[in-house]
Amino acid sequence: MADQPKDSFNNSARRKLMAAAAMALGIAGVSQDDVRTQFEVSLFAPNAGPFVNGGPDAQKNTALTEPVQRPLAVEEIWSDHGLSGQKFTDAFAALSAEQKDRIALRSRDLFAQAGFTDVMLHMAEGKQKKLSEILEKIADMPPGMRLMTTDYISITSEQNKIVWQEFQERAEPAFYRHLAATQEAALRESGFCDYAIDCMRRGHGPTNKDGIHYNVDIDHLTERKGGGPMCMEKSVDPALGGAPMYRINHLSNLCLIMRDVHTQTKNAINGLQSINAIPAGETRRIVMAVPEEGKELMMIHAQDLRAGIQPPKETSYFALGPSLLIRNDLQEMEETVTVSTAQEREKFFNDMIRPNLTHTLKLWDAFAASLERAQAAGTLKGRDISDMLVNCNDFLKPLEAAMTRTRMPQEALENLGNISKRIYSYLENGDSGKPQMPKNPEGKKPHVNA
Amino acid sequence: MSTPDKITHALNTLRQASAKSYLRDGAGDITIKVIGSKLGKADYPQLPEDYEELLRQACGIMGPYFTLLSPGGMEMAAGGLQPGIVEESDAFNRWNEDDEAKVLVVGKMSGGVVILHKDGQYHVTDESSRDVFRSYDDIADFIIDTVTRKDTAARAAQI
Repeated sequence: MADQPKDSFNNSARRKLMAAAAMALGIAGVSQDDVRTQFEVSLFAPNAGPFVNGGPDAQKNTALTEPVQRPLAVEEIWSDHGLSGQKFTDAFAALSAEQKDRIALRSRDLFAQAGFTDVMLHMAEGKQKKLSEILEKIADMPPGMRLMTTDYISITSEQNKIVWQEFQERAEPAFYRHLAATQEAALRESGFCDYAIDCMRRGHGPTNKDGIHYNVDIDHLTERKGGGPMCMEKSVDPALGGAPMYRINHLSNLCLIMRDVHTQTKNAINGLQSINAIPAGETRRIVMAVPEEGKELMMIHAQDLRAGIQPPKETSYFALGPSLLIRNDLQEMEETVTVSTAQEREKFFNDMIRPNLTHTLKLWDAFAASLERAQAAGTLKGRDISDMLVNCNDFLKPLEAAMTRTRMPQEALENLGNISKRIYSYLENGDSGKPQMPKNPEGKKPHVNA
Repeated sequence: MSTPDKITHALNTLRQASAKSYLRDGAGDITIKVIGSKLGKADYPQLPEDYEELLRQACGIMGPYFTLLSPGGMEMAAGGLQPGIVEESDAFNRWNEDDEAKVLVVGKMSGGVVILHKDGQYHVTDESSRDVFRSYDDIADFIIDTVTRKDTAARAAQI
């Protein structure tokens, strides 16, 4: 139980790396199949272990656990609302079957939002890439968040600066203190240590005892620059008292949110709609990601983040992006530095490689654990093995080779080698059918959508 | 005051602040060369001289005041991973117009704010709207001013 809350943070990073992996591989989705193998289903089983989507929310979401019986495809649903044409066809074509299912399931709520169709038509007037990406964001929205339409009423940059200054000087420390005073149990449940809660009690952002920050941020539910009158009018915050503050900075408009959910979901959806180009004083209807009802103060519960954020197929997927990142950094070193001492290489390893590798090893280790469970359950066979061998041959083996070639520290080589041996022992002892040829992604550059 | 001395002074201010930050060990020569090469290949400007000096004294900083990015990733509390300079910059520049020059992201602050280096200055910038909130001539000034402001704010909130 003690380790469980920490998964809220681990899984958040994993979701980020999943995005990196997808981008590095040049694929939009993760599965083109409607029906899962036994092994894939086992990854979502409730008792399968800490790296598996076993939260109650995952169980509620049938799209994550079983094939969906769809009366209508998402393309048909959207077309019925006037959203059709080549751009929509192309955008949907780039999604996996599972992503399309998720949008189909959300469509009823989406079209119940006033002006949602107009927002999407406006998006379709712009770049194809942006329309495709916003649909992907809608499909991959983390549990605990929903989409709503709202009027973005842009204020001037000068006023935005004044509002931010007040946020930094008054609202932020007050918000942290408020959370520590009223949400201590929920904070502990989410994985914050005593030191972090003490930081918040003193009006600071949460860190561990070494001063390392947790992966959280403060979000303005109504956008700081798009709140119109809320950014212009001051009143006494009912929760805080004291001197009047801009309503946009009231505690009821602030939410503690995972940092990458803030960046990759909320701000990304805003960015795709080019809200920074809305002139001051103008109003535009936009679609915005917000926490579900009851989660407005904090959207960081471990269960929320554990559910639904692992891709189907296999946990090795998470390890691909960071493995490629490390390999590219090692390649960069090879190309940049021709002669180096063991001491210099170790320094480089500690500076630039170690944190990524430590994280990546955890992901490969989790993959090995999932294989172990699947083998014990007798669900590891056929297509799963052959697909996973391809990923390991393309990413794990080349990482090992690059680490060895660049003479990285022995301990790191051994740790990576041991995990690799474990993984291959499961995969090579299974019934994989035909041997797979590596896809050889040499030279591809990873991009981390952080 | 020389750049290295100014950076040292700023880092000492951070070490003596009311809340603790995590300063990584200083970067070695290979790391500095590799990040320069990565930036060049990705069409970014090179790191400013004072940020390079900062990396030589602390190869990345995390804490309650701000995050100053490292050439590689940094592990966060409870296991998250903070990506490095190039990866964060790529994310920030992703939706630039085709002819727009790429800007370098060197740090982050709470409330969806990033620290950019552009036109010879460090800019505290709203990630969503791209509005610039504050600008500094060098990173040492940013560190000292931000620590002072945030400590003052935290003290005031306790009264």
